[in-house]
Amino acid sequence: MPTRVDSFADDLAAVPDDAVLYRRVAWDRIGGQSNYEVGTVGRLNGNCFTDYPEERAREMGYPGRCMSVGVGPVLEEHGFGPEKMLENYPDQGVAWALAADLRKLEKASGDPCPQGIMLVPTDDEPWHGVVFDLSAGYKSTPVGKAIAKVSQWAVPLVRHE
Amino acid sequence: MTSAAFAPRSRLGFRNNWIHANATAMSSREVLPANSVNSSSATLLPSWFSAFSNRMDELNRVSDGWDSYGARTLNRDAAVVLLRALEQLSFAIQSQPAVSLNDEGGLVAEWQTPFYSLDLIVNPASEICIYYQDVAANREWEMPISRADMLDKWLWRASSRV
Repeated sequence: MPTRVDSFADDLAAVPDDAVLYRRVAWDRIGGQSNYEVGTVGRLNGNCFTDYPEERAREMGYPGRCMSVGVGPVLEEHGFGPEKMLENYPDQGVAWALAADLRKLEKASGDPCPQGIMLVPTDDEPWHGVVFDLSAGYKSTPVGKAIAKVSQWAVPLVRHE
Repeated sequence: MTSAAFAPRSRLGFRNNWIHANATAMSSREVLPANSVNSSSATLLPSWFSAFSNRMDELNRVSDGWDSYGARTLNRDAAVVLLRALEQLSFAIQSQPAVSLNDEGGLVAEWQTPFYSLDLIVNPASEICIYYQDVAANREWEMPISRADMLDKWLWRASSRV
C-alpha cells in the first residue's frame, strides 16, 4: 500500500526532467500474443498508459486518478535496472518514457495535455511514482495515445512459440 | 451505450453459431458497401470472427490483477456489448481488431493502418466510446458511439488491409 497522498504535486526535484519512467506492460494490454507473428515485438498503444479507475485510486490513497510508474533514478540508486520491475511478473514487458516528454505532452491534435509526476515510495517499491493529468484530471484515450507515442520498450514483449 | 441501450439499434441478435465466412465482408474493396448486413443474413459473418472468438476465450481466462496494477477481469456485459457491436458493424469491418482488456474489465478493439486508427472502447455500464485518428491530417476524435455519425466510414478505413 503506498503512502497516503493528500494532493498531487509535480515534483521536479524527486523526478527531474531527464528521469526515465518505467511502466509494466502485459500482453493483454496490447492485443494478446495471438495478435502477433512469432518473433515480432508487441506494439505499445494507449491502453498501456491508463489511470487507475477513480474508485480504485481513492482506495489506494490517492486524491484522484493516476498511473503507477517506476522512477528510473531511484531504481538506479538501489542498484537496479528496469528488469527489476519484472521480478514478480516475468511474462510482462517494460516500457519507458522521459519525464520531460510527459510534462510537455501534446495530443495528436497538438493540444497540450501536460502530466505531473511525483515519487510515492512503497515498502516493496521505493522507486514507485505516479503520473497524473494536469489539465483534465484523467487520461483520456488521446492522452494515452500521446504517451504511447513518446514511449519505447525497455524490456520488449516478443511473441514466442 | 450500455448493452440495454444498444439493443434498439442492433440489427443482429447475439447467437452462438455465428462463425461463417462472408466473402463480401472479407473483401478489401475501396468502396464501403452501400447496405449493411441485415438480420436475414446474420449467420454470414467474416472469417475474422473465429479468431475474435478465440481471443475472447483467452481474455475470459485472465484473473484479477492480470496487469500487475490491479486491473479487473473481463466484464461479461462488456464482452456481449462488443460482440453485438462487431456483429452489427461487420459490413464495415475489413480485418480483425486487436482486442485488449483495460483497467475496468472493459475491452478495447483496435484497428490501425499507417493512415488511420480506430478504437472501440467498451467499459462496463457505459456507452461505447469511439476514438478515431486521421494520422496524415493530425486530427483525432473521441466521442460516444451514439454521436459517431461517420463510424461506418471510419471503420472501413481503419480496418483496411493496406
